Amino acid sequence: MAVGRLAWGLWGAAAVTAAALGLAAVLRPLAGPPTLEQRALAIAAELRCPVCAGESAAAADVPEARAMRAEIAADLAAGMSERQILDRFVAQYGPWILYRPPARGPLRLLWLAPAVAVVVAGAVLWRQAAGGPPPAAEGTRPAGEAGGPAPELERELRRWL
Amino acid sequence: VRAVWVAVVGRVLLWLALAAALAAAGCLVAGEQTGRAGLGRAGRAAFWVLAGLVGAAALLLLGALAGGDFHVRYVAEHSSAETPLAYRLGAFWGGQEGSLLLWLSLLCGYGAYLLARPPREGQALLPYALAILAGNAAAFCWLVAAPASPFRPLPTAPADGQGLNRLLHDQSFLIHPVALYLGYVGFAVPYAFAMAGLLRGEAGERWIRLTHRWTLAAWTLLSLGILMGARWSYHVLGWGGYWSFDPVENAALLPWLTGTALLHSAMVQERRGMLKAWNAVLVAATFVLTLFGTFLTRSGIVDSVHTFAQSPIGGQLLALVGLATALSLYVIGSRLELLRDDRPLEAPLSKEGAFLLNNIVFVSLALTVLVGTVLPVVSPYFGQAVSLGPPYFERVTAPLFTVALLLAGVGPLVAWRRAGLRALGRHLLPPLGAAAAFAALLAAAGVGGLGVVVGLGCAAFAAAAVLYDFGLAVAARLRMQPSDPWTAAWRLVARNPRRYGGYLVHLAMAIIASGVVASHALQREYDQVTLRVGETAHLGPLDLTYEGMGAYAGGGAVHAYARLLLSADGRGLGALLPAVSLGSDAETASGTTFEPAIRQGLGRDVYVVLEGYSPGGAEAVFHVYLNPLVTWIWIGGGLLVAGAVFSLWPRREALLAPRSHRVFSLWAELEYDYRMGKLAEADYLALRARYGREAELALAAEAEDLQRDLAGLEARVARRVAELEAQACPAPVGAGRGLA
Repeated sequence: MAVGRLAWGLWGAAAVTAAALGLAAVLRPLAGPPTLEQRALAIAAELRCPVCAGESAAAADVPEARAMRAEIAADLAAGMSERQILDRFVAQYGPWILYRPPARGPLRLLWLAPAVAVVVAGAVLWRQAAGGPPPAAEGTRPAGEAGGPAPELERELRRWL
Repeated sequence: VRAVWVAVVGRVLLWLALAAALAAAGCLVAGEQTGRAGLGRAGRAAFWVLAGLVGAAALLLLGALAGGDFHVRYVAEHSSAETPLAYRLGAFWGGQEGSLLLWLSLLCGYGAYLLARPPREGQALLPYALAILAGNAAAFCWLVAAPASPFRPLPTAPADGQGLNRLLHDQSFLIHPVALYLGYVGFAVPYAFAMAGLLRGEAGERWIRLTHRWTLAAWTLLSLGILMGARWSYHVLGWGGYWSFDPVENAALLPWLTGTALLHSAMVQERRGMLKAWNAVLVAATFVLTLFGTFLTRSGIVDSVHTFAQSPIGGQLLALVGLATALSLYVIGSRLELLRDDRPLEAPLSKEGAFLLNNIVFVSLALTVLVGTVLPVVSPYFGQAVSLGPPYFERVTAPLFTVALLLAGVGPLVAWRRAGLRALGRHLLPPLGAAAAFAALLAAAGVGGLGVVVGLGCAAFAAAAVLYDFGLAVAARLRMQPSDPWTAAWRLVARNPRRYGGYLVHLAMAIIASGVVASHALQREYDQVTLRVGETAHLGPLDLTYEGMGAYAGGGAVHAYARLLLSADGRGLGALLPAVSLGSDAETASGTTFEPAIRQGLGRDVYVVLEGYSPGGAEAVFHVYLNPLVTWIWIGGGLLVAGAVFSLWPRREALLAPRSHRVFSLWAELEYDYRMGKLAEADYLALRARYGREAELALAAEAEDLQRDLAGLEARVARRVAELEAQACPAPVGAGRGLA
């Protein structure tokens, strides 16, 4: 038994190591620090394309979005920070341009939405789950009364195991 | 003349269907209220008529699309003579009116199936359930008969149609909407049975037992629809991604989230008689969210990349959403005393507790996504237009999805009723250790980013936990009934398909989550890669050589493509041909669309979009994406469907003897839990005695049913024999002969 367990443990460890190293070989070339272009595209993903239907400035392939991407890359090269660049677009188009509005004023509620949802759903569910009659019937029943289930039921049960 | 005929007949069919739906709903309800069997029979007949009329209308529209009857406005607007036949037929759901007719047809199809093969235990609930389906069908009949009819004629027929939107010329378009709608509409059936049970004043788990297969089937089809939609987005839209929390995508995600919660909490009610009111609310919420999703998709109030279809029926759909919500709440509210639980939660540390947590997480996800989807639509009325896009949704949902992923691993390891903390800890330790080692190795190997390491680590934990638990069960079985391990594993799975199908789904979720995390955090993107003929671009591990432009005609359009030679780490990987479709004269609706070229791989996809080229093709501009592990999402999706189908596969014993089947499978699960060390001995013995009693009762009840069926059958045979004999020989000569 102990030997079997050890063998299984070793197999498991080998599988975990192989999976991790295999995955790392694929993912590592893509990791690394972001290039200027990556950073520009990441910022563009925070902005909506002003002329498209529901696409970001990073994903859209229209001249306006391309111009925005080029502008962001130029700003980054000129040493502007992400905050400054986003603020410039807000000044130009209004806060509507941001896909992730800042948590200011009433919009703070938006960022609390999941927490509020968890509290509300949790409270409702807990009330419901704790609400039934007390568990008198089953837990306290003498366990082996009449020696448990009948033998023919036991035989039937074997078909299900 | 012919096309005018099609338009007129189509609308007449739908108006008659509306009348039949109202008649069916009215007769069925009246029959239940007055107890007159004739009314019930009339209601059923009216439902058959409804299904027949809707089916005929659907066939008529398909015929008009196949035959190119451009007198019919819908046909002219969504197909052309050049559209290939498969896409002409697919145009049925390519537009607003056709989509609504598809919804209606599927609803009627499900209803007809219930009429033809009524669930054995659910005869009593059928009249109200069918009445609810008929009422729902009536609303959609009205929409497709009057304000959004696919059978509106054009005053003069154009020579050719406008063609199908080029973005929909993709194989996944033929499957994705149908699967999605099958799932959407499928949730109407559990809803109808739940409401029917409440209307009849039934306490108890009957509707849950009757509909768990429906719920799972609808959930599976919805999952398939969502995955196919993601694949369509990935292959066709040319933006390197597959999911963007677009309002229309959210419309499909919302019922999926509540449906996932329902699948789990229904088990708590089925096995433990708890969460009854919660489940009633959840099934109603899921149904209402499918209607809400249709409203969102079809009303045109949201701006979305998916708005292929919109018209001013939004108000009416919203009214339907409101009506369904109000009616559901009224029915549930008026029957609250029936929905009292049999017992409270015994211990938070139990499978019930894990399912409770699961429900909190999934319902919170649904609420969050709902708020994020609706807020941008209503915010202009409050003075400030707000946009919420992927950056918002990803940040607010990521923590909840992470907890869901961890639960996918913990849930299966916890025993029902009361799990020992020590036993649970012992079971959690190996998968936790494996996941921690996995994450540490990834980090050490230089796969950076806390999010990636944590996300992949959680996915690894879920997968390891499920596999470990399965291993323990196999070991327990080997101790009970010695055999070789493979036989033991197969027997174990075959004896409890519901549980182990679920395990496969959890494993699939871990694989999908890995794909999502990696492709999200580690995607590499190269914009505006401009190359002359013969020039090579070095993009990270990748070399791309541009060899020039070409063109071909196909699928009713002209395509221009660039030829690229691809190599990675010095190894040649062949050619990639990203293209743009230039459309054709006939297809004025289409214009230019991108046709990205994707080299799929288990590790990473190379995804190239042709963004532009100079006349003659001396120079071309590309947008290149390296997408890690996207293939894992499709593989995981396949496993997910496989696991769900395995759970659903009809089993003879389950059909013949549903009650004892249920008790014995629960009992067997208990035996395994005990032998795997998840239960204390006292709890085990108490539960075992209870299952023994329940099994006895179930077997006795089934024997009684069998006796009754047999007696009925014998009586019928005797009647028939008597009839035949009366026909064959009127004189009482052969009276002594019989089948007995």
